[in-house]
Amino acid sequence: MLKIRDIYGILPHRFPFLMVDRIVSLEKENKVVGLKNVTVNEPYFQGHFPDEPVMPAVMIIETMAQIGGFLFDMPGKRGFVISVNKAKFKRMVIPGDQLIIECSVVVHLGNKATINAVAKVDDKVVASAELAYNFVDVNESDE
Amino acid sequence: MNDTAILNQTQSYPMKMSVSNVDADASKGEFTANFSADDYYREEGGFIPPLVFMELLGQTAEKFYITSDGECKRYLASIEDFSLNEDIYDNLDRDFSVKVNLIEKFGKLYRGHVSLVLDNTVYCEGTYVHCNA
Repeated sequence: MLKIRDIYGILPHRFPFLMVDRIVSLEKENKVVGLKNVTVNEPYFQGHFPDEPVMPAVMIIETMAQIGGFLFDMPGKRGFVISVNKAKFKRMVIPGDQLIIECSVVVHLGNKATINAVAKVDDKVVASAELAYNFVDVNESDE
Repeated sequence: MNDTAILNQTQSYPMKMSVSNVDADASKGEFTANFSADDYYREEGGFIPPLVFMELLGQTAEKFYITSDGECKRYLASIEDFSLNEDIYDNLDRDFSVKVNLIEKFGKLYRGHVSLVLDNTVYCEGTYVHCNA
């Protein structure tokens, strides 16, 4: 299990875009399960929507992307999501929900990788998607 | 649902994307979009997360459906495909066109293709399905 201090050391994301609270289980190059506690203090809720807070679908995708990134050991490289396919949003995610996201590797060849991700709340699927990453040198990504 | 409830379900800061209407008819629309150095969602170093472009395309599709079919509560049901050309990060100081093409409408569902274009180059595109509540 990876707690938040471990996650700080691995992901470059910080407020307001660090979307992972804990990695529950991890088998590199195979499967990862992570969680995100959704609270009403998330900054995006003030605009989505002002009187009816609903987690934006793209934020669920971002959470999938960050948790999925733990699957890969790519020293000196940073992964960017370059495509998303078959993303389905079945239920609304609202404050108080705990998102459990399970990602598995579909293919990983060189600097390209594809994963399947499923997001659940209370054991019910709320979203699913296939994400593709491109890994670039950290120095290159900073240019 | 009354009008106030509908208005309150429209995205606002920080989730509202900067999109302006240029031209639209029943099946297609063209909009402009731009990015600012002090946009809320910019990370350290000015990097814009890909999810922002994904949201931008989705909101533009919604804006097009509002223009063509009127205001109502809509939500995103699926993104069939979405891709991003990383060269976009070299052009963020430019004004982009966002083009929406309605592919089909059946029942409460709207399926449309949206692309972010600059100088005839597509930097980002996707196929989105929205649903009327």
